[in-house]
Amino acid sequence: MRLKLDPWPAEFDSPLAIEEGASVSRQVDATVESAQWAAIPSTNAGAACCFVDGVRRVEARVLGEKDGVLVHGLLGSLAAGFVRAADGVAQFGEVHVSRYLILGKGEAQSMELRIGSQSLPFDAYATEHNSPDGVLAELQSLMRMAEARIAEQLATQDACVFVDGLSYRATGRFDVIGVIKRILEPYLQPAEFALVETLKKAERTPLFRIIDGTYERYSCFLRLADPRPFEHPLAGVVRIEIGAAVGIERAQALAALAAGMLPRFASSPMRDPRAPQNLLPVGALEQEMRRRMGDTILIRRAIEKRLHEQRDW
Amino acid sequence: MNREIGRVLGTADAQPLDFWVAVPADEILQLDDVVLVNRELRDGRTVSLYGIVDILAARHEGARLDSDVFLGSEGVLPLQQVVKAHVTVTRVEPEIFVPPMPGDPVLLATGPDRDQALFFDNMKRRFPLGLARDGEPVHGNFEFLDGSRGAHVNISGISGVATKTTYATFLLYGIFNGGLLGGEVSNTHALIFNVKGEDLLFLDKPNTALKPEEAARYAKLGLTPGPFPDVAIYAPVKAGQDYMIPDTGKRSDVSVFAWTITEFCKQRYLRYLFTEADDESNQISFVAERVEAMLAAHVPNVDTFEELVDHIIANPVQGYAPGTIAAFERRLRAAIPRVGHLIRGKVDDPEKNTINWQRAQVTVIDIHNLHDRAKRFVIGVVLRRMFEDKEKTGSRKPLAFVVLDELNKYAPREGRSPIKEVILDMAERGRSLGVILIGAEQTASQIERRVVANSSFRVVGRLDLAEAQNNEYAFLPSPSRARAGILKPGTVIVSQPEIPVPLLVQFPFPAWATRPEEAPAERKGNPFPRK
Repeated sequence: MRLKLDPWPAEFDSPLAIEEGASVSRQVDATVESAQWAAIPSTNAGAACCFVDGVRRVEARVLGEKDGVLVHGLLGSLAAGFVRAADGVAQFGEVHVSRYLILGKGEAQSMELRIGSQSLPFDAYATEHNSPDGVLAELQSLMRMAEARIAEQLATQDACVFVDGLSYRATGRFDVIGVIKRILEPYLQPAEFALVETLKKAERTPLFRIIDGTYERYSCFLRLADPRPFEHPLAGVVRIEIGAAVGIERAQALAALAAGMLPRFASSPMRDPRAPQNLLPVGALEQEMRRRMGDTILIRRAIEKRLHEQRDW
Repeated sequence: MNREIGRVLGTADAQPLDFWVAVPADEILQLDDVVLVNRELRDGRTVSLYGIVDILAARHEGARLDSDVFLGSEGVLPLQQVVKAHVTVTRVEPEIFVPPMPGDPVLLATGPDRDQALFFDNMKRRFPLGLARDGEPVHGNFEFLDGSRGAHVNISGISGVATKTTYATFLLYGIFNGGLLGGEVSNTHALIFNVKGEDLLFLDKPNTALKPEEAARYAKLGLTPGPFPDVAIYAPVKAGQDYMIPDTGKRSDVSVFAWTITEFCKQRYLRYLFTEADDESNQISFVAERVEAMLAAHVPNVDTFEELVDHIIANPVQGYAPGTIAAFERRLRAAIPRVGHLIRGKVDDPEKNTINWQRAQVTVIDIHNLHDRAKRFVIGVVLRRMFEDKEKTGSRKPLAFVVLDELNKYAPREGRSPIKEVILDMAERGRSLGVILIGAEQTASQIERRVVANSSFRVVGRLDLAEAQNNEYAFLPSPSRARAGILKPGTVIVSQPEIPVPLLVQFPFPAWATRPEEAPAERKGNPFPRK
């Protein structure tokens, strides 16, 4: 058996996570754009575009007790922001940082930390999911909502808004493109999916419609960069999603735009371990947002100090 | 009003004596700008830290690889430009040495705050050193020049581009014409040796190349541009002529100087003919002293220096090895063609043909046409005369300034010579006698250490970068050393005792002619036309 490399480092989940026997339990219509299933080359596009992303960080997990029941919770920070690339300049937009004290069992409680002369409030957020994963999922969804708010705002101004991951779905029917870095499912029939491996840089598959009862959307695979000979042929491919509500013509235009723009912003392995899928502006934005969330050790110390102060012994 | 130009940054240590400032990309802060930070203490006191910008650095934040700059300029990668400035603290008021706090606003110091930062407020008597890059005046504390707390100026720099003598004359112009000396100005004198070219022979002529806008720069320094008003110029007598004709180039309306054989013998000037650095190391100097004593006791009746030499050789001193006597005689004979014409049986007018450094405010002695040996003789004799005159008056004031270029020839680091003794004497005792040396040389590393060490003001023009690494320039912080290699004519770096950092100053274009071409055309009827 000849082996091929999965280029992402091992500390990240594999970008090629298709499992054997992944059932295609949904309906996929691969004929929405074209009756002929063949690669579509990009036309060179140069529009202003925005890249929206968010990051989250658990500052500390906390535990409480209510009526003899353990209450799970966490103190988390999240940031959402965007990079606008237009007229040959890429610039950070405003970055929104929020902090939450998320507690299970519907408990609502806020906390304020003091670091130097600054005050750091963690807003109360109650959830019924009382488990470590449950409260973490709430933080994740709060981040998704923050991303969606930004994308929604931008979509009214800019031609083209790319959102990292699935958060675009929360924006309703604005012209927002979701960029999914990892291939978790083939969606397509094996014969159709074979086309993905043969895509050249900046080529995409025709759009296909995914009907699974959750969120009606168009999607296609798009190659950002050609793999090196020893890498798996699926390396360097992303999938984009566009809400079906915009209509096929608009979706087609947006897909063309994405195919024209995204390869330009693809990262290279020496800049980003998750190259090329983690786009350059997105990588820079993540770094910037992590910085804006503050120093993790300082915050951790402040939390310990704050918890120490509430002692009643 | 002081404007905020940045904030103390916290990614590098801020220290009581130096710190870094982050400057917004749209602000302009340049090297040599004077800044101020006020730090509020808990007890309600405010400490003001004044400083000077000596390093500026711009970089991309968010870039990790050198090639990120291309991605940034293609509009693919967002990068942030940031400028940071390093500030060396010059003064802390009151003297509570605390660091400025990261985040504290940094102000551009202007007006009284700038004066405070540069200690100008403490200078009771000050003289102009030039203009800073921001066009504001830079003063020197006159107490460190007039001998009360220090004296002397030493100027180093490459010939031609460092404009050392021009700066020396500018300093004199400021001292004489800035109203600083008050009533003493008429009794204060300067003696300038013109050792190279004819640069200093036109101090009394207005500079035709002076642009009208320079007047504003002079005005900023409290000066009115113009030539030196009261200048006497002496040139050596021409060799091989019966009449006393000055040996000059383009300038002819000058006084002629020479010495009589009687004066030469009585005043014991013979030693200044033996000024090679190695002359002192052998027995020749002892022979010379013996001969001097002999001549002083009995002046021979001769008409020319050649006859005097014959007389000396005919009456050899006893008690020395024949080799020493022969060496002495050989050197003495060698002096005839070089110095002989300056020592004559008689002079036309002893009053006019003797150098009198007190005749005019500024006396220029032109020796550029003379052989090195004759130059040394003239400098040695004139300086000793001046020194003796000052010693006789016994008071420091009125001051006497001496401008001497090519100090490395007259006060070299190695060896001893009578002329070096005179200059060293001036450097060490001149302060109390009111004799102020404004010395210049290409390389301070070749000068007698004590001459440089005794100078309160150290000035550096364009320097050879290898020279700038020598210990003599340790007073220059490394950014200043690097800049010394690219200084333009008209720009110098000045260090003075009170200000802990050397300041870069520009001095206005000279208002007096520094070359024959810059002087207005001469009147017709030149009595000594050039052949």
